[in-house]
Amino acid sequence: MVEYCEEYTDFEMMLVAAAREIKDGDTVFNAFQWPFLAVYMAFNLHAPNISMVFETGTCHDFMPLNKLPFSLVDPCLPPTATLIGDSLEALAFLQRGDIDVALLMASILDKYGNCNTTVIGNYDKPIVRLAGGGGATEIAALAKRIVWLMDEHSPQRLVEKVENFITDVTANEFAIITPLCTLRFDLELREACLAAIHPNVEVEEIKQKTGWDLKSVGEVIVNDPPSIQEIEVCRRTIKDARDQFYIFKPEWIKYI
Amino acid sequence: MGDRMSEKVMPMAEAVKKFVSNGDLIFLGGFGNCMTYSAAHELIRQGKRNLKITKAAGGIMFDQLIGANVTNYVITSHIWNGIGPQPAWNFRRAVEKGIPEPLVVNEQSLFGLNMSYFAGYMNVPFMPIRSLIGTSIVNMPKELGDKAAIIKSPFSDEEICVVPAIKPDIGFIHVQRVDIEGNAQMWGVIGDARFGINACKKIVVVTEEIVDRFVISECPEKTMAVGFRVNAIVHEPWGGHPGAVQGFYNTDLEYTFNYSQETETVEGWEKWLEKWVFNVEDRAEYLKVLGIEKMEQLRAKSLIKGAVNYGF
Repeated sequence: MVEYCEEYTDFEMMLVAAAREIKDGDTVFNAFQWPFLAVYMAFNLHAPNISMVFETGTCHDFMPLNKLPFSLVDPCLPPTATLIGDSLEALAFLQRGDIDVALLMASILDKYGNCNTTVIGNYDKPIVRLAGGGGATEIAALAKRIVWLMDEHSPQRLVEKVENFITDVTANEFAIITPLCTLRFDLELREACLAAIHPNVEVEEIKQKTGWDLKSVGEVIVNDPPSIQEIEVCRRTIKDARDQFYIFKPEWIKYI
Repeated sequence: MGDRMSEKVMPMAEAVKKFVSNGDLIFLGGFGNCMTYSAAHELIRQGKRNLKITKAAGGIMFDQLIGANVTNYVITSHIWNGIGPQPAWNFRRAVEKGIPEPLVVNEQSLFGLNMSYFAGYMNVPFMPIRSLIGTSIVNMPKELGDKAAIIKSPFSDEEICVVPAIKPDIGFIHVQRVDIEGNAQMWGVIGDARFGINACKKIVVVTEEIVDRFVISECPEKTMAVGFRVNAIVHEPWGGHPGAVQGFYNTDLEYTFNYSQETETVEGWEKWLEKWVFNVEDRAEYLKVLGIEKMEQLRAKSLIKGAVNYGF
């Protein structure tokens, strides 16, 4: 009998839902920030037998359980690596089709899975210049399955069509996990559709906060709330991250 | 060995003066591990101008070179402060407001750029890759022309994207150890260092330690640049701070976090630049500002690994 947590934040639910997308035994491409936390949680919870590939060129079957490494480049990671190669080698695994699933953080995403992490506004005269895609361009194009993490569910972030700058094109199956719900790409409609809502969220709210006319295919299920075990690992991970200068919005961390 | 070879060893100021010209395309190594901060700071101190700089992930090192007006052209896939994450404010100011001057961003993807370095290292005009097509990275900004093309394989009907070779005029890497011939060894996270540095026409190695030649053959597979390709050796311990150097020191998370807090305004940035770059003559003086207490906090614990039987 699984015991569920009663009080948690939207952000915690997003991380938990993202971690659940990883199956034990998967070969996972691990990326910076929220994906890194979700993969760490999955490894600590239900997926201790995953293989992890980092864009820095290293492969891992292990991460320290007592404390979250601050990032992919934490010097605590290479001593337990299964491979230390060049970025090129890690990216070759993507190109070969060896990566089952990859989690990525999205700035602006459209219903086709096109992502913009380069610029807000006009490219030539931007309102905000963003960081750029890094390895996400090839991850989105080449992993068998992509899980996009979108930390704010709003029509500014989830748009009908990215027109100003496409940094990444998602080529295969994908999901989008937000603080409110899980969207999944539908092969027939060729767009992201509502697949599951987080507990206590109204479908109407999700539709209002999505930048396109959001459809659903079949029955929309309700995701399980975080289990006691999941929330413990989630909060420990967030605490470690905060101690290592990750910036969280106050409303994301009120229970730790 | 002998005197001729040891002429490669020189202070950072001399290496930069001798090997870097305004307008050069420069590769700067480091991916969290073995960052070339001390080289970047010397480029700033010598007032270099119009450098083109390249590196897979630019980070706050590129932010500093942009803010100090050393460069107005970057070839990279990503620029932010990974600790937070927070914006790289100088990068944003340059792109959004043209401060200190407009910046040309040669947009890249991580794989595309690594393959361009690889093509440069291999001395071939291009390399094929299975990503990039369909993205704006290929054709933006417009004035740079297309950065990738699609060709038909001469061996099948397959069409494939190709990216051009990049051959920087000069490159810097920071390593754990090097001998006086320039055989440079790096371990921990490698990232883009191997192909980036070997694509360069000239190579400067910055090092934590200078070791005897026999130490190199203890594990020759750790050699990142081989002596005959190296033009200069700079012995500058802690040159990778605030990044990590595996086995020597850990990432200075607090310093890196504070960097973005302190440089959000032009005034804040100028103050930071005075304190950490212009008011110090070299890395040794920088370390005095950093302080011995902080250095002890960051110093790595020893963990010796890797004895194998090379018998024959």
